[in-house]
Amino acid sequence: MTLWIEKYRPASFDDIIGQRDSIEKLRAMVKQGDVQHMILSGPPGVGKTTSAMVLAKEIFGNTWTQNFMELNASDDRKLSVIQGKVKEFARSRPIDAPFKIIMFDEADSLTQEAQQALRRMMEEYSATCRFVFSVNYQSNIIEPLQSRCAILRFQPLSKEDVLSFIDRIAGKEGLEIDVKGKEALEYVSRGDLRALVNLLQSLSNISKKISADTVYVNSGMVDIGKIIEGLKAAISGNYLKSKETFSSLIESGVNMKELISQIFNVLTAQRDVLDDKARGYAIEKLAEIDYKIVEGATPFIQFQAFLAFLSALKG
Amino acid sequence: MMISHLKQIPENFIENYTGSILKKFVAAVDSGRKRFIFNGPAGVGKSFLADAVAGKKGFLVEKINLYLLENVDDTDISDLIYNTVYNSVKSRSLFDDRKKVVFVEDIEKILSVDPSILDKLSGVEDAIIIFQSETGEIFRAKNKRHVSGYELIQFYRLNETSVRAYVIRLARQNGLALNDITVERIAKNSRGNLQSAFTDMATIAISGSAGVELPPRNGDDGLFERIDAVFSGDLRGISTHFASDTDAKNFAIWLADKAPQAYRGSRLSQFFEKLSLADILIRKIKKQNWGLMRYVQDLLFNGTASISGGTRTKVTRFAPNWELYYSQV
Repeated sequence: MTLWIEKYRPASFDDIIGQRDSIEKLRAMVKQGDVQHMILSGPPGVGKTTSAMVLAKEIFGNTWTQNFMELNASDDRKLSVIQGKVKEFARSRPIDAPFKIIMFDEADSLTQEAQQALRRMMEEYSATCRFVFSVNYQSNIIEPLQSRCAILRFQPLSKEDVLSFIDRIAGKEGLEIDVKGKEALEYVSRGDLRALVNLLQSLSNISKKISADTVYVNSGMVDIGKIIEGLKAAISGNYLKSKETFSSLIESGVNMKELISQIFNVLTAQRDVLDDKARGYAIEKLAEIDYKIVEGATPFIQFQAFLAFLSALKG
Repeated sequence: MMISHLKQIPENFIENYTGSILKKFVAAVDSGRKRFIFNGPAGVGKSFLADAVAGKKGFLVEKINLYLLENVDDTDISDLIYNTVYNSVKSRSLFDDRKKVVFVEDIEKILSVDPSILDKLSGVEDAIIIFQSETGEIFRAKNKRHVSGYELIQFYRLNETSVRAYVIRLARQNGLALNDITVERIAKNSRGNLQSAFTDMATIAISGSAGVELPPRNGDDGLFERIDAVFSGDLRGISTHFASDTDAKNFAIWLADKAPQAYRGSRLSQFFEKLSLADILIRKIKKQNWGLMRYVQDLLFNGTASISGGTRTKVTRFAPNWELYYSQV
């Protein structure tokens, strides 16, 4: 059985979804035959590693595996190991190419010391090597490294992009997904295509028919529709109804911590549930109860305090 | 195929007030001084100046990065650092009898391991040694006596006029045609960092299109933009991510210190309500409760910004009195 993430990994720039600006820059580099040191920054699953691989394939052709090295977080991140690997790779001459490319995946997890050391290595090997860092948060990279690198921002994928991607896979794999199911997939994956493809593959093993319910159950996520329903009831002043809704969620086995974290996501992402000011108060209250739970308070009492607070907001 | 489009020339060294840094350094070298500390933020020309002066005087520059050293087994890291610098100062090539400048990239490493290395090195003759320093560590009381024998050359973030001049000069030397708008964009995006300007020019040289976007590099210098954005109630284009709980705490302190310039009366009280909650959450984060960080971020950015009346606010740049905030009960 092939892994879908490999099967559906884009093989050329044309296949990469979104990221117009970054892809444009990469294409220009291929055209000029010149690659800069780069930081690819953006959330997980939007195409950072894939873009770097496509770049290597386009620029090196058949010899790309010899001229491209990827170091990821699961490799040993001890400085001496990094140094050894970089040295070994950078010292030999590139094959049929003017330089080689070293990619540090999840470079956010590199220690400050390692980054300080890399700053020198980048200069030392700049004649034969280009360094590419893929990060979730650009601010975790020290300024001297940032200034040596062109920054390529990868945006979270838009809802339309994700939905059309779902359609593409559904078509190829013969999956039946209704509109609600697609929306659920889009919500659960949060623009992370890798997570989405993995989820789709595991769902397809169960059944070729995919509905919103199976998505939520199998992704380990709380049913978002229920959460919104419960919140709206509380906000409209109906404390009892909202308590009922959330009680049934908790009884169905939803973890309290996960529930609170989902409520936070709904409050910050779904702008139509509350206005700015009320949302500010609500999040303050949510933070307060979460803190009290950390301190050892009874989660469900704290949670009801939050619902009561929401119900009283209106008055 | 070309390896790199742009060529850097040592003569391009630039500073905000022409001659002040360069002259001071050259005069000190001419008078026989051999121990220096170059202090200043990243990308303002510290190693650039060393190259420029060495080039002019016919010295050979050797750069050392101490973070590349790692103590294997039983060797003492302090000895290892000392020996590395010492050997670099003493060693001479048979084919190159130029005078040597040893440029050590990171005095912070020495200070964190054993500052007395600096005392030991001040007696070693022959070469010029320059230590690069990018933080305020050298000014701390416990380090002061170790650096007193060194001549301090202070570098500052470059203003936009200087960066613009640098960009125009570099473009001309490399036959790169840039229009005024592009020059302006590069200068703005550099935030006073020459290395950033250089990299952005290379990007434009490669992609050839002036329309290509230059994403900002956000280092510590985004601090005031973040503070102003919060108090102005406009968070567009501002990064609200904290790398650590210390990062969050320091930002909270800056906000506390500057809030009276932006908010009065009930707004100020509402602000402190949010800040005090954020503060206790930060205390709880430490190593385990990372989930609380999302509230801290929301309270300090969205929460505080929602209090603002939406008027553009700019606060003063003086640092808070840290001792007040870090003093114990």
